[in-house]
Amino acid sequence: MALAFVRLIPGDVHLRFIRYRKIAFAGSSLAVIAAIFSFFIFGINLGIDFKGGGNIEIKTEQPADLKKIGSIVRGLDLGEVEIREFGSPNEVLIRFERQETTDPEISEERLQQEAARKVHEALYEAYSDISFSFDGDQHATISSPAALSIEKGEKAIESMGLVGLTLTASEDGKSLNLLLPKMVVDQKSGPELQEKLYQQVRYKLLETYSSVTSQRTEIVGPKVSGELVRSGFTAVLGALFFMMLYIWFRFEWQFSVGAVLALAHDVILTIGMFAITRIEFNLASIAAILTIVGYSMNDTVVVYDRIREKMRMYKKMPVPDLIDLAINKTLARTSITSITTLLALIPLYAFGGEALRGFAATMIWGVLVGTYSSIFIAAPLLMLLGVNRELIEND
Amino acid sequence: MLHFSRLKQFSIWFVVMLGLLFALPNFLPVNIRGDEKIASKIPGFLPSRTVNLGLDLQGGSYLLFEVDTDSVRTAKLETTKEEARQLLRSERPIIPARNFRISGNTVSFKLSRPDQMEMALKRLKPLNEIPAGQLISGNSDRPFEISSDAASGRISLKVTDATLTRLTKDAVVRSVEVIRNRITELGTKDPTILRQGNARIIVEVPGESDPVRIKNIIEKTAQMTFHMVDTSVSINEALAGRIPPGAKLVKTDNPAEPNLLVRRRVLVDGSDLVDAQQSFNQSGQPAVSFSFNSRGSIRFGNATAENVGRRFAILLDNESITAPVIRSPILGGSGIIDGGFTVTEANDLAVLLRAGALPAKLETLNERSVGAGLGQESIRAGAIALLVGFGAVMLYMVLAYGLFGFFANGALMVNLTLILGALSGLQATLTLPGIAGVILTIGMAVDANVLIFERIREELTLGRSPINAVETGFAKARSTILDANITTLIAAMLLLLFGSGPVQGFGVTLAIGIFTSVFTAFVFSRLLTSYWLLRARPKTLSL
Repeated sequence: MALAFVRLIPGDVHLRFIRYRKIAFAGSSLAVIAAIFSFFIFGINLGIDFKGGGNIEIKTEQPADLKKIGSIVRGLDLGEVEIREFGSPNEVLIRFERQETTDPEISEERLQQEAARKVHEALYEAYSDISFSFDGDQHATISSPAALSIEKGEKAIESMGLVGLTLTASEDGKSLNLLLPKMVVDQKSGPELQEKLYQQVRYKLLETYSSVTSQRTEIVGPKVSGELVRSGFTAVLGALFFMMLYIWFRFEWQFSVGAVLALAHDVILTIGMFAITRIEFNLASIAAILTIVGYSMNDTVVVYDRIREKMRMYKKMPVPDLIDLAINKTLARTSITSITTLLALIPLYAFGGEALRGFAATMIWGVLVGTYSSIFIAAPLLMLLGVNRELIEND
Repeated sequence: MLHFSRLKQFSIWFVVMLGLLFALPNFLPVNIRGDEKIASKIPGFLPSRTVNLGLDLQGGSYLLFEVDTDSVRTAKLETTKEEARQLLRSERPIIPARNFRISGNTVSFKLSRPDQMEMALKRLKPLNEIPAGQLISGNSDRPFEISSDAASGRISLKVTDATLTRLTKDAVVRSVEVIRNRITELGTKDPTILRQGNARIIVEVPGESDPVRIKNIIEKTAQMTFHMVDTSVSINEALAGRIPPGAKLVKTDNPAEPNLLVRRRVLVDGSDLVDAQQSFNQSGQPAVSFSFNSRGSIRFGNATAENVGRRFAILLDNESITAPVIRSPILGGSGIIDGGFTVTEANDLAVLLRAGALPAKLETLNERSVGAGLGQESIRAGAIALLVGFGAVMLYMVLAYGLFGFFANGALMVNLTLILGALSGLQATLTLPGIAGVILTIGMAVDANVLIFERIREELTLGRSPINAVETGFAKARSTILDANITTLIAAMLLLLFGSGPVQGFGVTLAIGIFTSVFTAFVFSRLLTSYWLLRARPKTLSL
């Protein structure tokens, strides 16, 4: 086969990576400091997983008017609200922050759920042209400028599990009459109950006749969000710890310290990326960080393995030359694996849907940073830490 | 490295075939899968399960509840207080006591005559017996720490932490059962109800993207109790704070009589119910009819016989739903609750009563619901991303390694099949982040092959013969591949341990992907390479 293979890195590269270590260390230190600063100055855009609150994803028939939706939702007085397009012009994500109260009698968990219901109700109302009138007792009328499908309404009421109600259409088909059962408590009527029942049916009918559909609702109460923060932290720190342990066990302590410093570098730069890009930091971000840690470690281990092998092979070669040799020998592999991983991640970013876009972006960044740190940080750090050749040779 | 014994070859192909077999049901069109006639023709030993889609992919609702441990404690203390009062009066002479108080985990009261202390403690003994179940499990914690002060006549009963933990656990276990009954009665399909940790319950209902009704029916504790109405003081006096001992104020859902004073003593409770059905009362209003077991019938009969002309209240979750006057003794053990319901409300109440009472209050902590349409869209987007990524990686591998690239691609295809097979066989849940995990695995799986091929290239430049170079390449790459994958596995394991919901799904596919990648890249592609090398016996290797 006289095929010319695509080779990014020629087989006989001799790049002097060690020579540039000071530049790399200085550059990385600056980047790490910048990342820490931006974290403290800008903070990161915490999602509801960690902050509590709700995400509501809706779909509109026409391209959504974000301004209109914004003014409707802000009118509900739910504190800070974020509204943005999500995936397509017809899809909108509404995020409201954790609803708080100082009243110990009111459950904060419940408040989040009520807020989500308010948002839904307000949007359904704004995106439907039906109007209601209720006599406070058994009769309500739903009217619309156009014909209303009675089947839709009946189906909706049935799906609520309500059977004691009747819905009849007017002659022109533009309005529906709703007959509620009489609520009787101890032979006396209960107007409050009557109102409650009416409100339930009203909400369901608004939802049914509205042109907005609810795609996804997520509500996270304060209890769970606190726990998610803790378990996320534990997971990342745990991963760093166990990897350090593993490398220590397989190599020498210098290797394990070098590897973990490189990993910490990757994690900090990734957090810096979150601070600057304002990508939402949620549970998937923790998953991404853990995967980056795994990926970068993978890269580092490949280089370290080769350094150890070369140390045993060339007993007289000075350490900097050894490290350079090992990096050069693994350079083709390191770059090709980065490329194949990016080849899988870029379609995920482009076609995988809005929900995975942040995750894919984080991973792409992480693969780039992780590859860099394995070559320019993890390996040269060994020189600084002083590898003990004798221990390795006797291993 | 390149020699495979027959047994080894067989085992490798066996694993590949097994993966294929487990993956196969996923490729059957849905209408065939669901067709019973066709399904019955497929032999039973063949795997038939398909990948379990997470709620974010198939649409549905996820709810996380927490049992309110405070309500468990309060209930225990309340009953203890009543029981203590009863025990002190159970025999002659009656031991008078006052100042019954509940604070923290303690019930305390004062004997009117401190010299009756010894007798009082003796009578209270049954309260502090070790529950039967605990003796068997070797746990001998008594429910209370009892302390007494002979001088003042004060006795305090402190519930131990161990008892509270046991009660909570008990409440959670029973709640899971009750919730299962209720949801089954509602007729939803394939609900999952799981206990999580000490006090939490996960409810997943596929296909139901509106969790409101489910939540409504789950959060009702449905503790039904019958009490006599207390008429010793007027309701206004009671509201002003003069509540007679042994009585309590409850809310009603009747605006004309928003509060009611009832005796604390429970005449009969829901645990004696044997059936509840939605029915209609004489005036045609929806109502719930119920019947008691024999114990309940006798108690209810006696109580109504003694109290003709007075009112009793039926409390549901401590709220009066009706308080009728007893016109005549109700001896048959059945009755009707007439609380001004709609037919649905009456029906739901009957469901709740049949399914049993929740032992404690539940609170929703976390709620996620996804419409079926969005789930479909996510699957489609994920599949496109997967195919494009898969194609790009395969193309690149061929461009970079030629024939060896094909070996790697063969391994990659088998890898995907194995992941699918493992997900179906283990019935692990595939979530949206899980799909991302599979896509990422594709990119990272070829890493092992890249390591090997680069190594072979190096060995070739050192002047080794093709077979020798391939042999050494695989051998030298082995420890690196293991080291590299174990570190990624550590990350995946931590995700499984600490992740929740969809993210755990990512950990699952990542972990499965690591195992299948090592197998396909290191073992399967080596087998393919060895077949080719032994057959073609190339003089030079183009790599």
